[in-house]
Amino acid sequence: MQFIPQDFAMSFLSVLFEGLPYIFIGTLISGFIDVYLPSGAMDRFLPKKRWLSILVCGFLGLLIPVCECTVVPVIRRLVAKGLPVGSAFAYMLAAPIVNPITFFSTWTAFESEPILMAFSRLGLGYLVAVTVGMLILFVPIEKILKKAVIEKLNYSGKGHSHSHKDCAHHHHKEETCCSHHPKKEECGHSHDHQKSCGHDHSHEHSECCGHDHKHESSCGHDHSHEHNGSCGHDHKHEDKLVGALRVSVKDFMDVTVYFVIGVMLMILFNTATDHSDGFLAYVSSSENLVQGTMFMMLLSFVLSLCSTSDAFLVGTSFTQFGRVPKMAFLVFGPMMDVKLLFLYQTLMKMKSVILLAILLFVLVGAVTLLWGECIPFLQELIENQLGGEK
Amino acid sequence: MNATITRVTFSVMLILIGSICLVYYAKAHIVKYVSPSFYLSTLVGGLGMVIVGVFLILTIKRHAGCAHDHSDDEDHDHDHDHSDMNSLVALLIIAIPLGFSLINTKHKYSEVAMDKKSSVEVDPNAFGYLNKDDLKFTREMLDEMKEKNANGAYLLEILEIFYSAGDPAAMEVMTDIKVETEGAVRRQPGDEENSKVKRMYRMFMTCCATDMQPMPVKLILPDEIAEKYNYAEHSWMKIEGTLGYESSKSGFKIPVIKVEKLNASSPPPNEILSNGGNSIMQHKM
Repeated sequence: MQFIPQDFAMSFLSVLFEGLPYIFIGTLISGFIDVYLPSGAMDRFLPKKRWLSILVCGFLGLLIPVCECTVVPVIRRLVAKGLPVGSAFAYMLAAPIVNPITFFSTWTAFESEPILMAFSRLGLGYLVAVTVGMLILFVPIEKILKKAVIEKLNYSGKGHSHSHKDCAHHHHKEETCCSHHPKKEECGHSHDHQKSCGHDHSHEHSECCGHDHKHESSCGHDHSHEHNGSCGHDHKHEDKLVGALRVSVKDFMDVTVYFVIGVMLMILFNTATDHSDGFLAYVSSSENLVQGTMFMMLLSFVLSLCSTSDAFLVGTSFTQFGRVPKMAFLVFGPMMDVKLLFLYQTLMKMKSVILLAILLFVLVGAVTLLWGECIPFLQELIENQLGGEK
Repeated sequence: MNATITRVTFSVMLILIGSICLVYYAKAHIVKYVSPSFYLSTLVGGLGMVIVGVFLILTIKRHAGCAHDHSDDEDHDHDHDHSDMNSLVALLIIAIPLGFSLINTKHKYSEVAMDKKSSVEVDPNAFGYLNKDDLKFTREMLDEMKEKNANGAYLLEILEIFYSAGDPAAMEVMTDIKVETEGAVRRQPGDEENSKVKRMYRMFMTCCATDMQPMPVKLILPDEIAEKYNYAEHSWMKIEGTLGYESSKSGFKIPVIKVEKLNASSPPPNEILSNGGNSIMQHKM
């Protein structure tokens, strides 16, 4: 293996330019979610039954299409805002596949059999994602999520209580005025903690002048001015915007670190990989379907392609492989690859990431092999319903 | 690291990354790295990063909280930001490979890498998705759409020649026609010692430079040209010859040109082809 700085630079920068803008968009969304989305909001509009919520979240990518680089920071914030973990994982795994852009690119890339490949990819991706979501219902979240994420989880889905026990943390002694904020005259200041403590206090004090004042028992923020009367302006929106953007930048740096590590490893793997013709002939043979499927999943893991365009590459580069290994590539890749292995660590414990990788490998392999057995039936169904494909 | 310093540093890093995106876009280097479908995201993302970074520096003194438990039992500085790892480590992990790449890039792969990438065998059949039209291709259509040079050779792009090998109708029309085309020329993979056989290609980018594949055409050189051929590998050449097709070792059809004229040429500003770029292959051409 020869390391040529020029080649590393070319590969590194090309993947960076491809992925970083979308990571930035994702972290912008996550920052605004953190500040503007009330805790428990997701729980309110999703079905109450967890299994139904998972099934619904598997389809969310059709409404909110995101690629795998964007979805991880978004999911991190949504989980912190109370999105059930099983539902979060269903959306996180399904969104890169179950979305209009990926569907269209798959349809276009497999022009000889677009209906079979595009719909199958969508269906198999959805099936695997909701299966993982359902399995997570049986696992304590402390075993899955990082401690930092768990600490941010807000359990005030019923609305804010003035007792801070419900907020799972307290920031000052309850005998101080922050345990109860009825009137300005009593406490002398506003308690819009949304921007200060990172959790939602859904009450506002219209009696107060509506902006920050200096006070001693603060939550850690400095109110640099005092008002005897209203100053006539409201800083809440500006502070919220600043807060949201700061969270975005922090998330961006967190995610980019893992992204950069993943990209470097991907380049390393691609440089070192040198498939012999004999090996390729072996794994691509129809008699070695299981080996071929496993090989293609490992290849998708290493190549770390974007789900919006991987179909084109699979369609053009691996013509010696049959449908089943190609489908395994197309379903496994957007859910787990070198980049994602590191991106997921911003949300999950390392051990959980590895277990997820193994689970997905087995699950995707199994469903695609099963799908392979059903292809004749599916083709007949398509032909009967639509009069045949090209 | 102190919260303010961390914020300033992160903001500066964001501005730098955004600026890199903008500079590469403005200088058109970006075309070497990603396909056209990513140009806009690079521009918008770069602008967004710079704007957000500048805004955060201007509002550095504004307090907007730190989003975590402030137990009264703890006596710690609330003026800090939280990250999953040490801020300095995070910055170094991003800055070092980025800086290394910016210093060492030449906006193209090395000859070693190009040798490897351009040697890949690609099946023209797999590029049927580039054909947006179902019209039956005829010689009349070819005459109508494509110009000829002074010798009567059709001026075709290499992508069009490559694609024709995956289309039976196109092969039928284009077999034995005279063509003029241009591209990079190298030894034929699997037949490197044969001086009379070369490969002409242009690289095709699906998504980014990392996934580039060649669009190859096999060249058969006559003795007089083969003997005088002393160009460096991957030199840009213009050729004129007769187009035909043969089966590759893997069984699919590939285009072959029996070369009659060969001259060195200059590559176009953008040597790399891409989906959504300037050379989408269609029956209408």
